[in-house]
Amino acid sequence: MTGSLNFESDIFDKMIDRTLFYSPKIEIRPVHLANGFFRAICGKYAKAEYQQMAIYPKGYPKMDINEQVRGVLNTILSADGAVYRQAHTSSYTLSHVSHITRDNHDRRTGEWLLAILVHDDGEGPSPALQLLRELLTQDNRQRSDEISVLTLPLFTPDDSSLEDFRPQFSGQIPSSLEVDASGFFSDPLLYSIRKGFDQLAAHDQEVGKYGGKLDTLRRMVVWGCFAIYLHLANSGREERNKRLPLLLQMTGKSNSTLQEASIQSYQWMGRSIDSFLRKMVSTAIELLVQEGTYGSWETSADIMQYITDMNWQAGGRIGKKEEKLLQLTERCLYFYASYLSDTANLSPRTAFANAVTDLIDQILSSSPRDVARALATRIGLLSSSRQQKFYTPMPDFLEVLVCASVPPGQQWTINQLAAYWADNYGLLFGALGNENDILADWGISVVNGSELYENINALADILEMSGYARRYADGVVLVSVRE
Amino acid sequence: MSALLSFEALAEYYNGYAGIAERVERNTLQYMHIPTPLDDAIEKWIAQKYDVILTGNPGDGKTHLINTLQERTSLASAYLERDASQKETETILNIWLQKKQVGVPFLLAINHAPLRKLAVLAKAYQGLEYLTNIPDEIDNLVYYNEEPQSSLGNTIVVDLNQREIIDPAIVKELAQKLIAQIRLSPCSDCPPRRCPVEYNAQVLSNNEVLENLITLLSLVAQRGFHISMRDLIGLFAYILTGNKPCANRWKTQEIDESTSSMPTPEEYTYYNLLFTGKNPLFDAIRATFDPANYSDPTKDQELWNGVIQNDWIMPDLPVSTPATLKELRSLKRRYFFEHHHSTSELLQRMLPSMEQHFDALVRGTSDDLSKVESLISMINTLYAPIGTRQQHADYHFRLRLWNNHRYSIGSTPGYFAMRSMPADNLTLYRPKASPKLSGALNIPKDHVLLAVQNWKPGAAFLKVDWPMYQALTAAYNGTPIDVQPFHILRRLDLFLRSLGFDAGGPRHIENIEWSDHRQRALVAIRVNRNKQTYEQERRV
Repeated sequence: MTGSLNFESDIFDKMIDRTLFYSPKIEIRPVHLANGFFRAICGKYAKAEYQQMAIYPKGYPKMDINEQVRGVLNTILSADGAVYRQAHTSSYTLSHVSHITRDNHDRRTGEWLLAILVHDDGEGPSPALQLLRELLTQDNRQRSDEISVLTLPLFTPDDSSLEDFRPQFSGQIPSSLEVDASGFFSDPLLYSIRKGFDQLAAHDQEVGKYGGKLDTLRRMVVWGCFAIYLHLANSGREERNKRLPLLLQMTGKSNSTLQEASIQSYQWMGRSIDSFLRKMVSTAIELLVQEGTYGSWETSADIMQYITDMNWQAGGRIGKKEEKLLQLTERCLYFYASYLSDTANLSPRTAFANAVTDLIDQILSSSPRDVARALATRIGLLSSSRQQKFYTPMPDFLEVLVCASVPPGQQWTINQLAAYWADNYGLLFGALGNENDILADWGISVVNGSELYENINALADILEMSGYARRYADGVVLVSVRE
Repeated sequence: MSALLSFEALAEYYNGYAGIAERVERNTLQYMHIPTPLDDAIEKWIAQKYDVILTGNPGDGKTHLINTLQERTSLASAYLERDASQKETETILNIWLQKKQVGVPFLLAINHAPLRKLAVLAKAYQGLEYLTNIPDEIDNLVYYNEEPQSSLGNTIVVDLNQREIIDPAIVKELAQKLIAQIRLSPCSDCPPRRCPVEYNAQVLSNNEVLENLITLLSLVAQRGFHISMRDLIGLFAYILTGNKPCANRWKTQEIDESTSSMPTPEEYTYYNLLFTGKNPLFDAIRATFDPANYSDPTKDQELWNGVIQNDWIMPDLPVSTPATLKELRSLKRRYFFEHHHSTSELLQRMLPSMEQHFDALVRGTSDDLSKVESLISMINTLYAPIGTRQQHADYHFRLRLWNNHRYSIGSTPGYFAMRSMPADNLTLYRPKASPKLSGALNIPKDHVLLAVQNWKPGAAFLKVDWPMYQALTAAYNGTPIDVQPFHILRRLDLFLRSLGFDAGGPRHIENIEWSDHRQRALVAIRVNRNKQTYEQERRV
């Protein structure tokens, strides 16, 4: 055996590189994703120390800029609460390439999304790519939104240089982005994600360049966050053409059969990620065995020794207290013993994989499930209550969903929209008519028919009030995007 | 004398069986028909060999109209398809094509959904391909600026959903017909001269009372509630009869296991029934204006003291002094309908001034530019509420294109605006019926569009309807943006963003206003693009 095993770097990170590529182990906010996504798209980030000092009066009290202006800049650029003393740990509520920092809190989600946008299987890259590049790199004369004009004086010639971003996406293609022999993505979910970006770009092609730039950026980021959530939620699925059900509750009724089923459909997200992680850790151990770096994995004694010697966290960040780490070892041994017991009767390696997976949320800053949950909550897909999570999309999120689905100039009936959402994203709200059959396949309890009917009406109401639907009294609801 | 409508038949018009034309006997249907200019227009179009599509939502009167008109000899030359929902779309198109080939006009009654399907399938029918333009034609039935060009040739589409039913002539004729039935069948179940149905019929046959009812219904319609003919008939059926035959009217009602009560005649008066019916129209009436809920201090005091004994429209009916608040509320309703007064002045005293301003806005009875300035000021105040009179004055003249930015959901810390548009560049547009339908039907005057001069369909506009006007007025009077309904903000945002095209390009020196709406503060920051400097700052 050569040295002790580090769970985070030798198992988790290594397998993330091979599978997801993006690393859901620290909370990712939409603004972090925006920073990382736009950095990957532009291939640049700003050093902008003067800008950072100017917008952070608390850390840099003395500056040659009017305090009131600094106050306004701070309020605007930290609207998402991710601006700190240092630029490289801050993600601004940005609108221009000069606001992009090298903050890595997006955990490579930006690069992963970029890979979907640049993918070309015959029809070229996504039009969203070109649109976003144009919007983010407007020159001093073109800057069309208030935020990028307000920060224009902060981008002085001394530190105006934009640094090249070095992608971490290297030679090995992670399994999440695999392509088949014909060059098509193996996972059809990626096409569903890509279609959403393409539609958003189609709607915003013109308006994005004028008064709608900030809306365009926001919609793209919300869609990116939804894409990550969707991908994580479906990470453990067995059949690639199947989608995890996301049952939307549009009515305000608590304790309804609809809410109960929506809660259960949300719980499947956790199970799916859990299943993915177990498989991932098992594969990691098999690879370690094949590599032979850490010696034998055959006996229970070998494995218990690994657990005892295990370094749980990677270096380079504030770790947990020694006492906590010891607790992790103790718990892992305990869990391991349980999985080996006569009741569970698993092999030592499988028992180990299960034991460490059970501890993931205690080892990492945030478990992948927490990351997914927080992201979906922050974009308005999940309810904000900490106690009970279910899918209850806010109007702003629904707007993005509709724009990402219905092509410009087309009118869809609400049934068409329901079919498209179910096929591509697993989103259900009642208009299919066979929702209970779909839910039953996942063991989710039955929803009362009248509640589903009310749910369709509630969704139609919101879309109608938002200007995305027209309802006729004979029951027809037509959905379209009028920009 | 045998009435065409029995009492039971009349009552059934309220939320019931009889409101559906297909279920009503022919002579009743004819009797219940209220002629409107649309009848003559249809006859004229058919005579001119036009094809006519009557569409709309259930209850708008499509089938009723076609069933009634089929008796007329002027329509004998046309092929009438009165129930498109019972036939396959392909069958209808085939018949239409055949009739077209032999020069027979086609008159079709069809709901919205099957009509859209018909428009899609028409593409495959040589000679009827133009019907694919039906959805555009429906959208153009109401226009705002330039008269739309029809692409349907000799086919007329009438969307009854866009017909304004609250027309004095229609309401009065309908009331007259229903009341006539009651008068023909004197009540033998109620005590002599105590039958509420007869009382209701007697009072509602008075023109002044009916005018007051029309005023109230017009307020409901002006708030955007679409009243169909079926709704209107149902309303009269209910306020005349209380949905109860007199034989059952005076039976003791059980409130719970231990309590019961005897209904009072007052409960069955039309002015109380108007506020107790159960359907969306009655809900809308209650939400719009119930005289019992609005105060008119002087008159209320006089009613309470029993002072107002004169000038009642029905002088023979006694007016008792109220002993309880419930009785006062009832008397206030009766006063609204049955007392000689200027109803418009009464409403001015009772309703918030917002109602009158909205009325003037949609009817165009005041200067449009000053209305535009007022709307602009309200929009600016919604995003940037500040207290100084001077700034408010400036708010009238330029519409700022307010914006905000945040990637997570949640309330924004403030709004900013770099572009603006002078009030002179904006104007108001009111809905008008397409020239093809001009004179055939009235359309509701329940909104205006705020848009740029020379606006064309497809360009940015703000629909200022009652909810929007209410929200803007509330904002102007201090309601914070954080509590405004999402759909109002969404509509405003869409309008302001879309105006970016018309608000000019980059300027050498940009003036950016930042509104901290919670602190009610506004900061203006000037940025010199060329020099990359801040020019000056000021706080209001």
